[in-house]
Amino acid sequence: MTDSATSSSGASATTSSELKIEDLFHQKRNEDSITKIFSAIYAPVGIIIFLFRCFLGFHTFLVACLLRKSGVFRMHALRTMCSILGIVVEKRGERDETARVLCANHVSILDHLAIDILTPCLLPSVWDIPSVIRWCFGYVDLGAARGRDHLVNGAKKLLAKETEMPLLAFPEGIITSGEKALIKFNTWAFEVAPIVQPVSVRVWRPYPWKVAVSVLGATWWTDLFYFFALPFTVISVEYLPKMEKKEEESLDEFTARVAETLAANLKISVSKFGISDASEAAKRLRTDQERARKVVNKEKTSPRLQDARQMDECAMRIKQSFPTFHLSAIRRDLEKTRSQTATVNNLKAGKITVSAADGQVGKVTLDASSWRGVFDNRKWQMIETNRQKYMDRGVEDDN
Amino acid sequence: MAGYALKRLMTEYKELTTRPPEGIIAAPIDEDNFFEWECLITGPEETCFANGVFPARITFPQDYPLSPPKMRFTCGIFHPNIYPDGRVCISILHAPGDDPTGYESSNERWSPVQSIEKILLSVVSMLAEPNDESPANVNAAKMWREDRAQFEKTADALVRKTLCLPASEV
Repeated sequence: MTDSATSSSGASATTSSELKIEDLFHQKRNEDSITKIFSAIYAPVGIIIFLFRCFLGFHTFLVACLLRKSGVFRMHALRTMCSILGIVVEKRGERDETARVLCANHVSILDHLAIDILTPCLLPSVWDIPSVIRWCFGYVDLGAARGRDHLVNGAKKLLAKETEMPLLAFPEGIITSGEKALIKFNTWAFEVAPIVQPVSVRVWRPYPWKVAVSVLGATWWTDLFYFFALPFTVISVEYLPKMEKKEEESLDEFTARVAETLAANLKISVSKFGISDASEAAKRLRTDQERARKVVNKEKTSPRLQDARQMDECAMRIKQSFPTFHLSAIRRDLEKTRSQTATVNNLKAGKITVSAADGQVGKVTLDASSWRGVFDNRKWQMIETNRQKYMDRGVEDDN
Repeated sequence: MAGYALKRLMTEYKELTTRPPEGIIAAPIDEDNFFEWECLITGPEETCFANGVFPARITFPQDYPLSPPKMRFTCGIFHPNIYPDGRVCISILHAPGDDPTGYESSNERWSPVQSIEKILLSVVSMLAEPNDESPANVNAAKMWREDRAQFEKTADALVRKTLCLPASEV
């Protein structure tokens, strides 16, 4: 099952020099239009499944909390329940007990869960998640927030105390697509212990549910939503042979060597980008999206013009940007569209009716009900003529 | 009472519509309520308000024309005889009894023989010749007296605004 994932990532592997930071991530959940259409059709079913799995998920949660780590029963119970939740965990390769640190690439928010099910392990919490969930899933706070030294010392102490469980580290520090390249590894995990077992994680969904597991800048609950709503997601975990730091090797070299090994297994490369580049890219994407959303919102909420007064004010605002159009014409279009945006678009498209009567008051009848229209006409004409006079005056002054 | 006021307002409306005075237009905002009018006044020529088209609201009392209407500019005009909130302080809008300033003589005051047109014409001349003896806007009066250039600049900015012109480049 994992073969398709490997081959697709292998095909798209490029050298890191050509890569842009954004290429390392999925930008959109649905990459092509077929999956997009399919997602729309599937959505109602997906939501029902999601709700159903939310209840189940809660029970899984309880099981995870109640059964203590490292029990065989817990492992099997959780693995089964996760399968029902749509999270299928595959295992390849063997866990080497002599390695006290597992280091894995990061492709989804549930990577640690998948590995944890296979081999109960400790995970230092460096992620921004609620503390309740952190506790339930067996994260340990090693004080990563207080700096690297704290983290390394905390991890060392923990491993000395806890003799059974290994420490799981995601030296990438951020979720990538796992299809192009790895983020440059952080060295902290390799400082904790000299023997490290690399673990490669691949994540894969059946066609046509080819929804990206995680996108750049996504929140953990949206990722989780997709896990629950889609039929199933396969997380395949492969344990690679353990690696030992050589005597003459520096920490950086050792880290790089592990990264290369892991990348080779995934048939991708190691990029030169670090975690800071990645978060920078995520931030950039977020601001872009926010800006786009703001524009859309503005258009959406461009308030529906209720009364004549608002429309008058709006017409005058538009006139500022489109001085060639007669105020009467703008105002008449506003009467129809009742929206500033719609009228501006009409103006841009030239879809505005210019009537010869604009500015012409015509004969005033004795019918009082027509007088209001006369007033409006005169009003716009008055502004137009004075506007013209004002501008002519400016020219004369300049001369 | 209100019936008479309505009749009177209707007559004035007809007069103003069929024979509009130069640079002045006025009409009820809503045909259902003849006691709220909107009007536009063109700034007098050869003054700093020239060519400005200033919108204002006129509110009539139920016993119009016995009591004077109230007039309020809605464009944030900066003028010695106009309160910062836009209310116009002019003798024709004051009944003979009350004299908030003590500077006005009785013959300039409101009386039923006055009309909307006369009010608006008075306002136009007030724009042309501010009376800084009884200022409604002290800051404007002060600027008018002491820093005429700045006053004219402020007025010009407003004129541009009312003409849908972008703010002056200067």
